[in-house]
Amino acid sequence: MTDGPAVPPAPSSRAAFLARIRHRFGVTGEAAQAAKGDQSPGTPGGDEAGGRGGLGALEARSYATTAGAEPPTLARRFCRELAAVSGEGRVVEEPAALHAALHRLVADGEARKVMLAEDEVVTGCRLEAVLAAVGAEMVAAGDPQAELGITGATAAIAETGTLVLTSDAPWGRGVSLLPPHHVALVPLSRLVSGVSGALALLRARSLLAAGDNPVLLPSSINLITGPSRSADLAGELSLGVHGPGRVTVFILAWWDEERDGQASR
Amino acid sequence: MRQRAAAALLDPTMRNSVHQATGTLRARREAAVAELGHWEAWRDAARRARAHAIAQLDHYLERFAAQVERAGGHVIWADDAAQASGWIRDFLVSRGFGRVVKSKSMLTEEIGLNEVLETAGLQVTETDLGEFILQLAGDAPSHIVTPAIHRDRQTIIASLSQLAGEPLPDETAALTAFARGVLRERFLAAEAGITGVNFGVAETGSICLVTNEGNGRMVSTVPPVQIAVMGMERLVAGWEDLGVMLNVLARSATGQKQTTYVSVTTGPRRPGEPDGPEELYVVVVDNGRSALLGDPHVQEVLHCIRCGACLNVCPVYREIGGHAYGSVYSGPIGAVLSPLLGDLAEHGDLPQATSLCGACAEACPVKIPLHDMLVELRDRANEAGQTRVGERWAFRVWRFFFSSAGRLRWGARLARALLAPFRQGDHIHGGPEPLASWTKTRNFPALKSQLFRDEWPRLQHQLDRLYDQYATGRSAGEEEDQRD
Repeated sequence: MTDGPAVPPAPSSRAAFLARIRHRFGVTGEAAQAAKGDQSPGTPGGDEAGGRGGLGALEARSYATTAGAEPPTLARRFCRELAAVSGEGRVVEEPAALHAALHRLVADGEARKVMLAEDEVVTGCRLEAVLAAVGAEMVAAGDPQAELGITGATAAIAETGTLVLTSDAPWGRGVSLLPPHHVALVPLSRLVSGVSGALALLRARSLLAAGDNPVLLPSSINLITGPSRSADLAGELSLGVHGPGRVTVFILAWWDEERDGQASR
Repeated sequence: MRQRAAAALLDPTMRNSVHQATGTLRARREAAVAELGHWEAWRDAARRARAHAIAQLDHYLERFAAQVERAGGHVIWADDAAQASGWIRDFLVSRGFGRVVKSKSMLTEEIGLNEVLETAGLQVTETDLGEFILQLAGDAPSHIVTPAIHRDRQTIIASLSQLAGEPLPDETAALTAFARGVLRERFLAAEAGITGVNFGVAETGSICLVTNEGNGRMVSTVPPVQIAVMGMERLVAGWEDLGVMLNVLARSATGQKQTTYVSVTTGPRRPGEPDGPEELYVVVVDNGRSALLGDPHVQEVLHCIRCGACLNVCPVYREIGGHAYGSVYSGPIGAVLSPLLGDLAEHGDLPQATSLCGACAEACPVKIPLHDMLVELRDRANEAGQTRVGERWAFRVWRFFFSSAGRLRWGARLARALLAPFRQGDHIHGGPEPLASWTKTRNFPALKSQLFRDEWPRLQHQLDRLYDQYATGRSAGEEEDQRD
């Protein structure tokens, strides 16, 4: 860690800090004499209460409605959950339907300045022409004036209406955060039931991305469940405090990951 | 504590706000928990995940630090509040920074960070809407999750209007838009962002922040430098343990299925990424926590995930609000944590301000036996000779009368005679201190003229007769059954 800019001297040291903890455990360590190791009790291989299979199995029992369900069921659940937290979600069957919906969204709203994150899904949907036709102006990522940010998503969680966005994709962190309206395009095949599926997916992706660095996750992962909200104004719900006040998700039913988004039919 | 609580009880605005808000949070939590199902299994899993990490905290802290550094972040170890705040101040000053934004963090309240930074001439902006409102009003948070829970709408509008320099309309959307505009400018101008940490993941070196407004996300995205201040007990061991915690935290805190933004950061921005902080510092703070390790009666309090569920169900918190506790952490968790982390003498009276009803332990998503710990802390205060003289004498008198049947009978007659002048109907009214303190605000039933223990021989006889009748009737019935 010598490559960065200079920082003030450390107030304490790792050695002293950890020695203090070990001393405590050593002196009266009744509460702390479990075997050292990396097995984590709440997770796979976990025991009685989690059931065999740990988190995933516990979720499968709890989320009885969608655990192991087919994608269309997951999509319906996702849209219902998102609506319950003041977001909007819908399944679109073909590119023309998406184009029509976006056309309406831009033409009706005040959103003129649009930020596009060009990952393979957003690019594959060929939105520029549609947006230009209704007079939208494309602005660079990070432009504080942007009114609409359009991204893909790494995954989506049906049980909670949650989008999963990672910073290793072209949308970075800001496109889904800074504008007052965020639109996400999610291929149907990327829906998972619960948070355990999303976490497992993220782990698997990191393993694929860097074999010698197996658990280095993307620098930023965001699970996004509906628009920014607060109850700090005397308990009254307010939307769009810092993040977008409006979140619209289109689930792309035709998208086939194997064929770069071309419909498989 | 007594005076603060008494003052709080005379503040109808605060009591009303707190009552309504905690009532809503509590009802929502119950609904969200029921919807998930198998809640006890989830609590067990969450408790196990926390217990595992805490029981081997040295191991997991070492692993966490190594992973943070591998991802390009820096780890700073701070033994106490002064070291933590001091290092952050020195860092910001050495860089020549003047403006920082903060997302909500109870730990930074605990270490008094804002004061230290402001004394050094830095502009510190709290960006959680509730904290921002409190900062404008020079007030302090009174709830772990919803800091401005004690404020009513009119005082909030007044604070924001003062900042705007004009009266703002009484419309939630307009007030939100105004705050968003002001805070957005502060975000863009900030040279560094300071966040807390909800969970650190040892396996991956990740830090996880959950916020509903997105302030945590903004602070960890927009400024070029991020400083994350983490209590040393915030760790979970593995990546999937995080999933367990995320399934219980939001449900327990606000009754949401998931918090709007769960932001997981692993190191600073990487080459080729368009945005995010270029430098990441994680300040790991002890500040009295290590002293609780290895103490079997209290170690578990370090399992706390700061969801605030125990506050929302506490009959004491719901009446007196958070400020009456006089410590950063309020409610049942505060009554346990504050005396343990700080000075037993300073916060030693907090464990007394509880009814030991156990609602807190029932609500706790990681099953911390808070009421047992409250009894333990009372016991320790007693051992340390902190009991008040009056209380010591009261219990001596109690022991005298209750340790012999004869003395008890005699004592009851004596009490009846002494209380006779204050008796009105079935209740005692007025009377001298310390009786008056009770009768002023509560019912005090008078002793019956006929005591239960005097009546017992007659009652026992009656009971025996009833039992005989019942037994005879039953055997008669059985015989009939057999005849059929």
